Amino acid sequence: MKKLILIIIFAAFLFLAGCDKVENPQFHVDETSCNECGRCTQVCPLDAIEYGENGKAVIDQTKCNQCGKCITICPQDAIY
Amino acid sequence: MRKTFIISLILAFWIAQSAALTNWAQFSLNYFTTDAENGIDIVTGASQDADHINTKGKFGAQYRHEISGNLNERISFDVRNNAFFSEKSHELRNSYLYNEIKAKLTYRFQNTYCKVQLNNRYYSPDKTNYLNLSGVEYDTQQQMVNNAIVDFQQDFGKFGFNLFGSFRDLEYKYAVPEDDDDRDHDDEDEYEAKSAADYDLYSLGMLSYRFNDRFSIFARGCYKDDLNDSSELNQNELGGGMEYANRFDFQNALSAEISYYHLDSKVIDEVFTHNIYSEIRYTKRFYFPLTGFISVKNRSVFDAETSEFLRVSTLLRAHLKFSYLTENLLDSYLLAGGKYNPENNGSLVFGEFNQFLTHNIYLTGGAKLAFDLYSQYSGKLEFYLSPLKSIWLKTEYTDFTKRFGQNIISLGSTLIF
Repeated sequence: MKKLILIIIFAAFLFLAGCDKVENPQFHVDETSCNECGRCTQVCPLDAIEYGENGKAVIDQTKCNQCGKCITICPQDAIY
Repeated sequence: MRKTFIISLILAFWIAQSAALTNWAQFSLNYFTTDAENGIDIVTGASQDADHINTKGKFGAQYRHEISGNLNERISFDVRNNAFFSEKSHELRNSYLYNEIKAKLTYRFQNTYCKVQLNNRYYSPDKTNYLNLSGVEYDTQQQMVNNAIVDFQQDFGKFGFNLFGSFRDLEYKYAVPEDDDDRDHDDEDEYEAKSAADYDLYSLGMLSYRFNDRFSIFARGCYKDDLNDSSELNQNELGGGMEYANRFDFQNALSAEISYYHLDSKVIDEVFTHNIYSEIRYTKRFYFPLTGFISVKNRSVFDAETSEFLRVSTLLRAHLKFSYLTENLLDSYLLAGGKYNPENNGSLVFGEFNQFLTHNIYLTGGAKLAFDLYSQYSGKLEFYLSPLKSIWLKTEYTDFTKRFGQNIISLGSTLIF
């Protein structure tokens, strides 16, 4: 069962990694890397970043226009 | 807003009186210069020309303080404050005088976890750049952000239950021409400053079932309510998935997740309706001094119109650390890693070393090369007065893809007591 689940996840990942990309990719936060420093909340020109349920930064996709300033300033490189 | 700040201070003071505390404090003085070429476009809203960016020898300061402790066996707290000031805008910040405070109270007993948190960010009006808020016609200037968070988690045997709510209030100002009916405005128009607020409510409900220590499934629903009149920024999210986590032994750990969620929002492109998230993380401790991990995340969508899967964003991250001279106060180490993020041009490689010199003095150096965005080089000399007290001198140079470069020299002190 465990192996089957891992194989499914791995296969899904490989399948998805090989696809084309969307025209306007979204930005997301890698929660395991975010250290809650808040610099992305300070730089966002659209006020689109706030802290989520576990204290890590979360991007509100309804406000974000993919300007990319947060990805430049994040000291943990947590935005992808 | 002032009330929230005062209540937070009173709460912090009351807690401080009744508990054993751990303090962490860091103070730094910054000296920075910025050189820009004409035609730069990656700067904060108010600084669109090189002359505005160019800075010779400006000062700044930052003070961060964290107080944490336990009121009793079940209740703990954490208060963090971050005050930042600089003579001129730098480091791509919207405001160069602000204060942020976060106060968190948590309750944990057996299978119950509860958190209440208040956040406040205050921006000095005359030192804050303008924003372009969605749905607001005019440029806006942040005054303050308040955020109240409640999180509740409860386990019932193999079932887990999570409820989360976050209310957010952004106070801002904007300038409107006094004769707003006349569309042909010029520089001589009189402008009138107006205050306004933007509210958002984020809520989440999640139910999970744990088959064993390693494998679980979950279903979750999120709802964002744009509490303003238009409600255009509302968002619904409904989905579920499965998680796997296994620590095979001290040296090997593997975790994985795959989930699907359906997203519904007026302002998000329809292609983002059917979302798939997958993640695999493998941590390997080769032998004591050599550790590392590799982590892969992928976000994709299924485009119902063309019946094809499309990548939204992929993250491949790998780190490797080699520690040596471990008998000193801190380890000396070599660290190298990389991040691959082709969709958002976020790929980079980095390297860092920390070397014990003499008498509790350490030298740290690093370089980070983000191919499409910036390159950064840093050096730090740190003297430890004791394991919990240090004084440091740091220099950091960032070249933002040759559009402008910024050098920051900092002198600071870190203290834990």
